[in-house]
Amino acid sequence: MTKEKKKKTIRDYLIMSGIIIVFVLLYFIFPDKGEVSLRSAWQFFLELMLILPAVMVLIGILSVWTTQEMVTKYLGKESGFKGFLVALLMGTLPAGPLYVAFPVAKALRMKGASIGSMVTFLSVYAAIKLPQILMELRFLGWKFTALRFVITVILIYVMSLFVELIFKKTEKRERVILP
Amino acid sequence: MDISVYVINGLVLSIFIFLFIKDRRKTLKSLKVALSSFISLFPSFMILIIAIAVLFSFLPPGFIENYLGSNSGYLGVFSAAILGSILFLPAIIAFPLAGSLYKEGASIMVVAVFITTVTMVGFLTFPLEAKALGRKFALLRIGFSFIAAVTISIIMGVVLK
Repeated sequence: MTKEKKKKTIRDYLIMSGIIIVFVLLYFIFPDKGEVSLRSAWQFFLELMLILPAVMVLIGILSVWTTQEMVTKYLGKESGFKGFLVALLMGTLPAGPLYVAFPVAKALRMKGASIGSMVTFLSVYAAIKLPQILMELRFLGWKFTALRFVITVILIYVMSLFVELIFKKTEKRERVILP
Repeated sequence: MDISVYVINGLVLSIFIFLFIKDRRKTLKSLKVALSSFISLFPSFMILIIAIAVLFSFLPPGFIENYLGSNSGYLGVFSAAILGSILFLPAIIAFPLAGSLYKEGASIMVVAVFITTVTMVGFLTFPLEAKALGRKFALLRIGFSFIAAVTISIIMGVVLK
């Protein structure tokens, strides 16, 4: 863990302790509501603990086995629909929040990836990561997860075409206006 | 117990065993990463659990159904979309949160738009994105992601009626 991350984690634990203290106080002030919320909190806790370790292990596996170099290596080469499929696959794998992917996308651009495949990569990276799919499956069910996955993939494809088109159009126009 | 618990744990366990046979050291290292991400995410989960339990026991019955249920219409969807766009929430936390909103009566559309905006839009990281990839790119991506999220939620609302 980096120093910054450690600091943030310590802060999070302090906030958590504060919230637990507030919860205990509320429990004594409103005993009947406290009883209900304690029971639902415990239920929720158990539900999470049944899958959280597995999801964390998957995150660990993904972050150790898929490196950024690997992602950039495969993404830079392909274009068109094939490029979309590669970006789809590559975006699903790495763990980590979206802002971690911005420099990766920038590196891709330098290597000659199209605007469209950058949009695809970032969107897929954000929206359909493997550990997230498992959480969605658990808390919202098969039907919801499958349907949202399919629609999201289709819309990401449409979106990448649109953004690429807009970039091409405006770049041309700018070139005409500027001598 | 839900079958998805078995599927998820079984899937991850088999991936783990397969990789462990392939490369023991690398796979053990991933366990370390797993532990440290568990430690850093644990408080967020606890806060979520307690906040939801307290909030739901103090909200008047039917509150969520009224404001985020199917009768809330586009206003409910729109507020969930805005909330999801500006909340800085680890994506993984958004799913149990959305699940409990759904259980309390929020509509499919609201849940879908909330999850999709939380994961895709990222309004607060706009400065970072603009710096790395340019303002125009960041604005277009965020704008289109927002439109996509609303579209996804409308389609899901129609299909999963």
